[in-house]
Amino acid sequence: MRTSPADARLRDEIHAFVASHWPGFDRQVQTDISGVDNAYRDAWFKKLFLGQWALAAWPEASGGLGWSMARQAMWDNACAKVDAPRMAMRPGVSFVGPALLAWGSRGQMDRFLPPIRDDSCAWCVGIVEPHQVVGMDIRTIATELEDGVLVNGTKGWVRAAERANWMFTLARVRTSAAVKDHYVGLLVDLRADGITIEAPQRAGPGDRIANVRLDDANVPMSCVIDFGLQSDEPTDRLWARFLDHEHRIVCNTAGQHQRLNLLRERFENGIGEHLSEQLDAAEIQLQAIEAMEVAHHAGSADELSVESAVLRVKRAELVQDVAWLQVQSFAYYAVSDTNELLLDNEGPIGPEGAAGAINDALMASMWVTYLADHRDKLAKQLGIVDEHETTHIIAKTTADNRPE
Amino acid sequence: MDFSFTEEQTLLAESVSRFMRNDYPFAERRDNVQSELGFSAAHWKTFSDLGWLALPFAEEHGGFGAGAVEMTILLEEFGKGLVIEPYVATVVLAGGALKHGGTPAQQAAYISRITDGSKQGALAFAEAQSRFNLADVTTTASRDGDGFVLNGSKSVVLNAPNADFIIVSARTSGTQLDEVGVSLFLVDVGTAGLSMRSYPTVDAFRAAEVEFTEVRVGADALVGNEGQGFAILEQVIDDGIVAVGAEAVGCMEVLYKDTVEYCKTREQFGQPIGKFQVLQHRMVDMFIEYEQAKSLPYMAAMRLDEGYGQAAQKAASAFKVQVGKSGRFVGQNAVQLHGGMGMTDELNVGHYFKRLTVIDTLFGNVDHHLKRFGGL
Repeated sequence: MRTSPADARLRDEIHAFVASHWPGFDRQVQTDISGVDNAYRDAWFKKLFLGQWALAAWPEASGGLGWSMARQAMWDNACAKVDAPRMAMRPGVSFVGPALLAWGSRGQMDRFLPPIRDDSCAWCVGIVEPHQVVGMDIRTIATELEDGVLVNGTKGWVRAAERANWMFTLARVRTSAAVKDHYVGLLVDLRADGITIEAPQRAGPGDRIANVRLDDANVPMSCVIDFGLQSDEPTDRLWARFLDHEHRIVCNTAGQHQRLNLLRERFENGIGEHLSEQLDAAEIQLQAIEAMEVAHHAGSADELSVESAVLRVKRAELVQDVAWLQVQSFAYYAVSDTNELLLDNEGPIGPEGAAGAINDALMASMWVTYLADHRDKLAKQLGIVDEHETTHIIAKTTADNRPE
Repeated sequence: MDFSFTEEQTLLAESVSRFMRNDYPFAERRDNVQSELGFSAAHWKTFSDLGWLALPFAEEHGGFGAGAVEMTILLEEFGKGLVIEPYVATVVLAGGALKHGGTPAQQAAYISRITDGSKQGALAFAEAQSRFNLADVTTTASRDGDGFVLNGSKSVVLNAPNADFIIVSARTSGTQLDEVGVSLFLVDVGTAGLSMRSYPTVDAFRAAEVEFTEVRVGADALVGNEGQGFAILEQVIDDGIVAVGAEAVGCMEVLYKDTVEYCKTREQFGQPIGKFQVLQHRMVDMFIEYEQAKSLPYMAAMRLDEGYGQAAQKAASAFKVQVGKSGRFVGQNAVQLHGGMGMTDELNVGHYFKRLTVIDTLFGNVDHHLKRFGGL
C-alpha cells in the first residue's frame, strides 16, 4: 500500500499551487461583521477557476480532470492546512454540478452547467429541514401544476443563502389526488416570488447558515429533476452526498489537525496535564479517521457503503470533541460572544477564535444530529438486524408518514 | 444527614418557583437581553423587595443571614428560568467578597446598597494568562503614601459594564503565582484611570476587559488584610461554584423535561420520535446524569454552612466536576434530540446549552477541579 508516483507528484503540485496563490488570512482586512471573508474568498476562487483546479473533480468529458476521491482529499487537505476556503464553499461546483451530471436532463445540463463552469452563478444547497431530528425527512411539498410545481416548505442549514442566486433543493411531490411517494430535485431561482431567507447566523469560522422559506414558490418544469418512483437509491445517495459535502467544510481531517495544533501552540503552558492528554487522544482518533479515509478512497469510495457511514459518524463526533476541547482551552475567554464584537474594530476579545468557541460547540453538537440514523442503517447493512425489521428509525416512505 | 427543607426553605423555594413561572416569560427575557442594560431593572427591584438580594448577608447589614442551602434553592430556580439579572456577579461574588473580607465601614456602606438594589458590583479576579488560578496575579498595587496605586488588566469581568464598584485582586508583594501577596481592593467605577471594553457573553450576560492605569485608592479600599486576599477569593469562588452549579442543575432539569416532551410530540416517519428505543435510552441517560448532579449542591452547601475549610473545598470541587460532566452530556444530547429546532428561538435549548457550557468554564472546568480535589 503506497501512494502512486503520479499521485505523489500531484500532491506536490497542489501544495506548490496553494502555497503560491493563497495569500494567507489577514482578519483585519477580510472579515466583515458576520465573520465571512467574501472578497478574499472570491479572489481565491477566481484563481482556481482560471487554472483548472476548480473543476478538477468533474469528469473529463464535462470539462474536469476526473480526479479520484483520493485526489480530491489531497486538495481539501492542502487547503485546510493553510486555512484556504474549501471547494465545498462553491457548492455549484462541488455539489450541484455533479448532481446535474448524475440526474439532470440534457436541457438542465446545457442551461446550468456553463454558468457553474465559469463561476458566474452562485448556488446554495438546501436539503435538511428545521424539524429534522434523525435522518432525511423531507416535508417540503411540490404540488404539480400544468407547467411546473408550486413549492411550500422551509429548508434549514443553508450555507451562504444570502449570497446565492439559485438553490438546489429537495421536495416531495403532490398531485391533485394525493401525495405521491417520491422526491423531486428542484432548481430554485432565489429571486422569484415566495422565497424568504430568514435569520442568517454564524456556523463556525467563515460561513453563515440561514433558513430558506418557500411560500407558494413557482418552479417551472424545466427546473424539476424527477428521481422517479422506482427506487429510493437516488435520494439515499443524494442525502449521503449532501452529508459528505457538508463534512468537507466542517469535518475535514486536515482542518481538525490544524485546530488541534493551534490549541497546543497557544496553550503550551498551563493547560494542565489532563487537557493535554485529551488533545493527544483527539489526535489519535483523528489519525484513525485519516487511515480509514485513505483505505476508503483507495477502495470503492461509494457514498452508500458501510465505510462511508462509519466515517461520517466518527468525523462528526470528533468535531464535537475538538470543539469542546477548544472551549476548555480558552478558559474564561470562551464566554465572550463573537458577532457583536466584530462590530467594533478593535479586534477580538482574548485569543483569536475564543469568542464564538461555545457557538461552534453548539453547532458541532447539532451536526451530530443528522447522523442519528446512521447506526440504524449500519445495523441493517451489517446484517445485525433484518432488512425488513420495522423498529428501526428510518422506515422507508410509507403511507403512514405522508405529510398532510 | 437530613436532606429535608425547613419550613422557611420550603417557602423560599415556592416563592421563587412561583415568580419564575408567572413573572419571568422567555419572550420578555429576550427583550431584556437586547435592551441597553441587558436585564430588567424592574425584576432587580422585585428581587430586592422579595429579600433575595439580602439573602446571604448578616442581619446587621439588613440581610437575612441565610446559608448556602438557601442560595442553592434560589439559584436552582434561577437556572430553570435562565435568569439574566446579574445576581451571581453582584450578590455572590462582589457582595461575597465584602461579606467575607470587607471592613465594617465597607460593609456598612456597600452591602445595604446591594440589598436595596441601588448598587451593582463585579469581582475582577481573572487575567489573560491566569486561566483558573486565583493566585496568578500580575496586576500590581504599590504603596503610595497612605494609599495604593493599581496597574494592570483584568479579563472577562462579569457584570463590569453595569457595576458601580469593582473588587479587584492585585499583587502587593511576592511573585506572579504566590498566594501570599494577593490583595483585594474596592474601586468605584468612576475612579480615574479605570477603563473598560464591554461585550456580551454567549449566555447573554455582559462582561468587560478592565484596565487599571495608575488608579489611586486610599488605604480604606483594601478588602481584608494586605497580602491576604487569596483566602477571601477562594471562599468567594467556592460560594460561586455552588451558586452557578445549582443554576446548572436547574438548566439540566429543564433540558431533560423539554427533551422528553419534545420527543413525545415530534413525529417523524409516522410516529413520535420518542418511540425509537435508541432515543429513549439517550433520554434515560440524560436523566441519570441529571440525577447525579442534583443532590450534590445541597451536600456542598451543607459543608459550606458547617464552616469553610478543606471539607467544603473538596465538596465544591466535587460538585463542579459532576456539574461539568453532567452538563455536557445533558446539553449535547438535548441539542441533538431537538435537531434543527434546537437552534430556533421558539425553543430555548440552545440558550440552556450555552449557559451550561459557560458554567462549566466559570470558576474552573472539570480538569481544574479534578486536580484541585486530588490536591486537597
